[in-house]
Amino acid sequence: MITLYRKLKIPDPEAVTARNTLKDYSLRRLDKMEEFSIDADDDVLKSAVSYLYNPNEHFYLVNTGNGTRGNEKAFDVNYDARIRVETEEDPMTITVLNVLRGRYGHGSKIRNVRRKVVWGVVFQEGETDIYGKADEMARTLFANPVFQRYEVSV
Amino acid sequence: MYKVAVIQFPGSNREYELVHDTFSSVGMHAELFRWNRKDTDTLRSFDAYALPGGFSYQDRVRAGVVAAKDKLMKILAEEAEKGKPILGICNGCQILAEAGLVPQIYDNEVSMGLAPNAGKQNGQTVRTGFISDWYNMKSTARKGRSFANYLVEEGEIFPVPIAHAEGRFRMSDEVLREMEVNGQIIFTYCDQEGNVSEEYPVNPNGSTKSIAGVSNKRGNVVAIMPHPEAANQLFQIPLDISEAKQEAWGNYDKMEGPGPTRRIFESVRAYLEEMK
Repeated sequence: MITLYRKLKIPDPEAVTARNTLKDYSLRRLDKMEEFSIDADDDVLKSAVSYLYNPNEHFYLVNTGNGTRGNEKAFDVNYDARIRVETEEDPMTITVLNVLRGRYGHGSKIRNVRRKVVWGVVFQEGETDIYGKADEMARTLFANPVFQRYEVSV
Repeated sequence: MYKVAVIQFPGSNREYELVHDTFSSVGMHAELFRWNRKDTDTLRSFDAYALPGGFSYQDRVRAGVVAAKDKLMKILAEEAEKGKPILGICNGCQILAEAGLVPQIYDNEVSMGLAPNAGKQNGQTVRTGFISDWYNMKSTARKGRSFANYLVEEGEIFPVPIAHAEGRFRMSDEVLREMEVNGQIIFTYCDQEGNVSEEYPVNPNGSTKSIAGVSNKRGNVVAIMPHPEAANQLFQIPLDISEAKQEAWGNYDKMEGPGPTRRIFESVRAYLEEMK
């Protein structure tokens, strides 16, 4: 099992729009990244990872459990809170699974892939109740309560 | 003449059809109302509202959710309270759901979502992604339950195009039960004979109970994923699915005549006349 993080090298337009939408919150920084958890045999992990990021487009970070590799500097941000959002029957996850199993020929060596959108939040100094504010942001904007699940970590 | 405000957000689409063709075809006057107008209170002077399809704010974060937070939506919620009709089509449907204006089981709490398409066969997802094609929907509520089926008989079938990637109606079992009891499921996907199935391709996107359109409890806010404005005139319908068009072929006046969903827009007008 490995975890791959990726984010755009250019400013993410979704994060810009989300920040504008959440203008009532005292945000200093709002980043968007994606987290892929890949459960697969060791010999196909490299191929799976290379499918999921484009070095011209993304910064990436791979966590194997025994260490990390990738663009570590780009992910070295001390967020006050992270909001992870997972969509039920996420079409991207379904597509990734189908491509890795079928087109790439890895078949049952790919056991599962999950994707979460991760919002990294830095509040202005002096903000209190960081968990409560992040939770409110998730309910207000980032997750539809019917078909998306979210978790907040601070 | 009744005035309809067609709300335009950045990324809206097909708003000009609604303004120039659809509402005028039933004797109503429609105007474009841009999201960034300063005189937002002017919006209150309209008799009815339409939220068109498209991709407001490029569907960023989730389809419809950013537009749902716009200050105009607060005004629409207040005008809906007065009983004015609001029609959301495709992206407009997503916006109404994300604003909590449908199904309004628990006031304006968000209790429904338009999830990514996941067409099913025998419990397996067989179709995801963007779908753009013609399907059928039928009226599944009693005539007059909402402004959109004010003149439409229960069981009437409409060929309609859909064009969306996030159109799968989802809600909790409890909310669904309430909606069924209240008769808030206004339109349902069906085959050409009117048979409803939850299986792809009759139900193209995997919607719960094959739902294609719903209303709020009062029936004055209606959210539809298919595009009725794109089947409002006969010439808009594909030739191979319409006998009426085949008969009209070569006759300009007949081709410009009413398409199958004209009844929905005539319903809007009839509802307003009744409200007067």
